[in-house]
Amino acid sequence: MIPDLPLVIYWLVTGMAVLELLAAGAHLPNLYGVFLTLRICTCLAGVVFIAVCVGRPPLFGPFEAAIYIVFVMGVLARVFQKNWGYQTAFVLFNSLGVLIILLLQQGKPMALNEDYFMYGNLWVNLFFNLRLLAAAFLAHGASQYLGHMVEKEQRDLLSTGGRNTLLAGACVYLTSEWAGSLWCLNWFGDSWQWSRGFFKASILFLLIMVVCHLPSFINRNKRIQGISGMLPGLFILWMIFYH
Amino acid sequence: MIQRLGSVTLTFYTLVVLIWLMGAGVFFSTAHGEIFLHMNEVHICDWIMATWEKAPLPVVWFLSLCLGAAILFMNALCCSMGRQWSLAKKSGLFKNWLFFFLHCLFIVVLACHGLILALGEKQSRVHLFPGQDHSFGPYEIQLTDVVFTDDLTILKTPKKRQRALMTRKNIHIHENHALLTLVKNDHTLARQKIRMLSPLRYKSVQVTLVEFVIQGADDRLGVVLNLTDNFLNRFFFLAYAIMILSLAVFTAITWKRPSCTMGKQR
Repeated sequence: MIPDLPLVIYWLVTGMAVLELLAAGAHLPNLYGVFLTLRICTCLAGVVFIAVCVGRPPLFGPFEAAIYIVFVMGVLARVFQKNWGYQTAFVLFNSLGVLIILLLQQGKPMALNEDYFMYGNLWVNLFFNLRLLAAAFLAHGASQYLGHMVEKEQRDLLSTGGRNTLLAGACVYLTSEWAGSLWCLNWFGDSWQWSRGFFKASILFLLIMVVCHLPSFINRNKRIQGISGMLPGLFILWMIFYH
Repeated sequence: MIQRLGSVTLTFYTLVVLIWLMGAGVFFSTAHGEIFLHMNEVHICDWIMATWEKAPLPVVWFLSLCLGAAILFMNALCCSMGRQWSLAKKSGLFKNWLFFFLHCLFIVVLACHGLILALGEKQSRVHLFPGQDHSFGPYEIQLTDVVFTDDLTILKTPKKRQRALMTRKNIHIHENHALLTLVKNDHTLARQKIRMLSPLRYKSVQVTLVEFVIQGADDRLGVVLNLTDNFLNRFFFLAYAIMILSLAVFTAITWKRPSCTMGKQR
């Protein structure tokens, strides 16, 4: 029974995301709110299931990463809406983004990750879990920047929201990297090592820095500003699901 | 000149070039796996010397990366000491001082990254068995005892299959250990049980237990150690942590609320 439960959770969350997107597309804010809440609750059940079954927080892998990222993105969307109001473009892109994340995992093994003796270590847990948390923040920011590109009336509002989320995501991401460095130091004696993982992690940090250091002649172009704001979110999702 | 060196445009282009170089690193580390593995095991100068003859391209890539990082370092330094310092001094605002401080910490962290690579000593994958000792600079490491309470067949399993067997149930990380003594000029500096993820630290010296091994027909149990001596590690972690904290505080105090943005729109 238990091996099938991740698959049931995955399809329930995907179903909610489809309904949420339909409600957002039909401009039904109340119904959208109901499906968003249901999605958050289903994801929460998934996160609790992971924590109870394996005695640790979600770390990586198609099931654990997708459910956790989608859960945090749901919470962030709910908070953003509460404070900043219903933003049509953001809501559409956010729901679409969530659905794409989930559908890209379709066909991959929906199961808990195999256990490893290092998963009892605090720094290992912080490194992997905070990386997923950062992915959720940066993906949420990507939908705000995407909304900022197409929305005309609430353009500055979404750009400001995107900037806030990007900086918060950077803090979470750097904390994850710091914990990862400590893990590396305790495991190999070096605070960092030359590897594919290191290069990809550095690219993500540099992409975040690029968004914060756009020269004025580029920053004036809202489209380039929006695209550069989206890149860290897209890159970290690629890094997590296709590393 | 300083203004040009500290300009945002230079930052932007340097960052873009560094992203391409890091991307090339992903490609090189896949194409030249062995060379990159070796890069982690020896001092970087030795790696350059050894690699130049057989594969010059990764060396050229590495030197370009160093140049890019050096330009970013200079750029951050000029920007902080020029523009941000005067802005903070002129306005006196906490957020501007914090912004300046944040950039200074970034410079320190970037410098530490480079210096950790170039300074210090390192010996990788030193195999030791109980009763043996090993010299490391002025120090001597003596291995007295190795205790592995779990199933020894896990250690005999080929690496690819080993990972699946190394669960929290099968490997008791807190019980398996090696008893080490760190000696200098016949004087015992430290004597400690080291475990995986729990190394011996004495000042800037670190003795790290990478893995347990068995050898020979009599299943002799030993350990693989990485020996490092780098005084910058602690400072690096401290500066890095303060940088993250500063960024968090800066994000919090400059967090833009919807009312401000809406006001601007009106």
